[in-house]
Amino acid sequence: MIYTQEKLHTSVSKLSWGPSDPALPGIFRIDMEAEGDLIRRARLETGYLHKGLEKSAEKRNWFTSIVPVDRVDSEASLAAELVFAIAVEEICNIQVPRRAQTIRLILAELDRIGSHLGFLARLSIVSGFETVSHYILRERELVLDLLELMTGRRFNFGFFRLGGVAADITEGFIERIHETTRLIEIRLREYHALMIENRAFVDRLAWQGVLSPEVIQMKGVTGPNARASGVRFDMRKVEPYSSYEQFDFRVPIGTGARGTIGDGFDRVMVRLEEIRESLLVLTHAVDAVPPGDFLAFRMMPDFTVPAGEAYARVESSRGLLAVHVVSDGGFHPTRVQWRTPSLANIEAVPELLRGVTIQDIPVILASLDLSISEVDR
Amino acid sequence: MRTQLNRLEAVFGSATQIRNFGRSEKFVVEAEFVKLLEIAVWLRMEEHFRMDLLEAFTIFESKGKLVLSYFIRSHPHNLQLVLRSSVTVPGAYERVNAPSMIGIWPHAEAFETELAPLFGIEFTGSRGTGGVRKVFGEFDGFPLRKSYEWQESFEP
Amino acid sequence: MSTYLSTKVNDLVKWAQSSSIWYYTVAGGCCANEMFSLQGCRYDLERFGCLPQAHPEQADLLIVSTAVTERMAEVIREVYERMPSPKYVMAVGACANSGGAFDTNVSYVGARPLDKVIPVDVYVPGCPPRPEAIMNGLIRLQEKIRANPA
Repeated sequence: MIYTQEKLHTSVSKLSWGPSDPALPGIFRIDMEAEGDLIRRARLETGYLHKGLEKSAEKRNWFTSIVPVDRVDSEASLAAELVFAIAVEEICNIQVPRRAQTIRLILAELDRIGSHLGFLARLSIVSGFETVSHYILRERELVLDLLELMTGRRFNFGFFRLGGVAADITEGFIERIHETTRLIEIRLREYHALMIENRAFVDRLAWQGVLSPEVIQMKGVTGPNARASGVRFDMRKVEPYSSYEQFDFRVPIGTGARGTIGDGFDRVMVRLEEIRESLLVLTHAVDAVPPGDFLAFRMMPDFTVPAGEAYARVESSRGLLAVHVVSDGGFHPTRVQWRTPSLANIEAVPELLRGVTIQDIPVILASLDLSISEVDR
Repeated sequence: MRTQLNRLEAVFGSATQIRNFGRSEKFVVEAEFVKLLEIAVWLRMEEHFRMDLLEAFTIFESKGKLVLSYFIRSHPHNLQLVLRSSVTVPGAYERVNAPSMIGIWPHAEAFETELAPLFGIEFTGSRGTGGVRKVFGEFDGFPLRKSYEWQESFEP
Repeated sequence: MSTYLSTKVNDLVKWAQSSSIWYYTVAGGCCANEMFSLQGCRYDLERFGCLPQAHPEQADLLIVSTAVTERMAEVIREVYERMPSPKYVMAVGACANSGGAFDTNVSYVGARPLDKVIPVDVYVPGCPPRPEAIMNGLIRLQEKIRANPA
């Protein structure tokens, strides 16, 4: 700190930031008490994007209830589709063919790469490296192209069905996966030069917003944010689903390479490493797609699910995504409640913002990869 | 897991019922509503359980009852359990009082602040940090209850 | 002569307005991803003279791509009032156009069409619309500004 409090003659001022500001990761408000430009206390107000998503699932039948599922977090919507499908399949006792499981895995990993690339691009814009974001968005388009080739859409796919997926692997998809993964691996080295070796970028993020293991335990933070602080928890390893047990990959954790463990820089590093691991899983998985059916049965609009309940968990790109689905045997779900990663991750924000300067808020928030549509639903 | 749960039954007797959760191998402990807090504290503190993480807290309404389910996990013993309790749904504008679990699992705050206005539940007993407020708008009643009705056409 | 001049000056102003549309987005959820793709190098809105702005005071165009609930309507109305005239509004995505997947028959939040809150110039359908569709919407807006008699 260059300025001491005596020199500035500051007192505590109350500030409010938001709800609509491009520097914030979504639509919410931060109310803070600041002394000079140091934040003493921050509170968030969310709920602006509340869309009644859980109730709207109850209003739809089982056939169309995939619509609100996609919109939980549209950037990583395949993780939500996957967990919903797993939960309903558990209630109905449907066996998913191996081929469908592997196709699901391939698409989920592609989705994870796309979401992480989006994170890196958003972060580089907020931290003042707009050029870098153009490089990253270029590769994100390649990933979206692959998803489009397979599913026909860029976001909100609606592709995973009960007992499988909507379509078999498109012709030429596997070759293009190989092509794209090779290309992105080369480009990752470019990002390394642009971000990790870049002194200005490192200084912007190192030592910023350090997330301690105590906060992680207390607030239930999961995903890359928790792994950056050294908590090695990944649902793909803890409880493998959708044939993740067949593939070997590393779970990267933060090492404090440039600052301390759990700072903003570690969160970037962990995600870069995760992209690399996902590329590895992808290249193995597309060569190991087993023969067989891609769909166990064809669902009709008058489909009913037997009475029962299930709770399923997957690792989405932001963390632990879980859903509790309850059915009473009718045409409609009784309840679909989501446990989204951002819902827990945002609880750590008031802790993180205490004692930082106001100009660091956008960078710290962007490094957490919050999705406000996940928080409000 | 089942042998562990026998300890719970031995302590609380008829206040708990243990059964399987859906088709899964997980167990669900159905507790009497008045004993819910006591059992939660016991599960958190007892050295054979040490349920230190609340993964999710969900509520659903079924057959005139609000069913509260706590999906809890034990890090030291690598256990998973569902703690459940149910309470009768009161009138459309009446709130239910339920014990707040923030003191036991701080992570409960994220769920309680969200479910309290939507289900009309007053969580009593411990105060959260109030770090993240959730304001979903003004509703005539509690929207996630089955009895809630709204205007299906919007007049400007 | 003076009519001729004023017509020409008018044309010049309209040309300038239509080819430097600076926009401010109120985006939440799905369409925010596509708005972000538009800034990237493949679609590159800047070649149409469209530049994202951090403050509504500097913007000509308001792009709304979120469900317009009771709470969001307040936010959008406030942002719209802060924008200087002449101002244009584009509704992107099914939510802003009509309520879409969170229409009042499935959801209790009262998501309304954006044109019940503020006047809308261009509607872009889709959930979320492709970037090409949003670009098409911008080109239509440019045509609309140029054809404007005022």
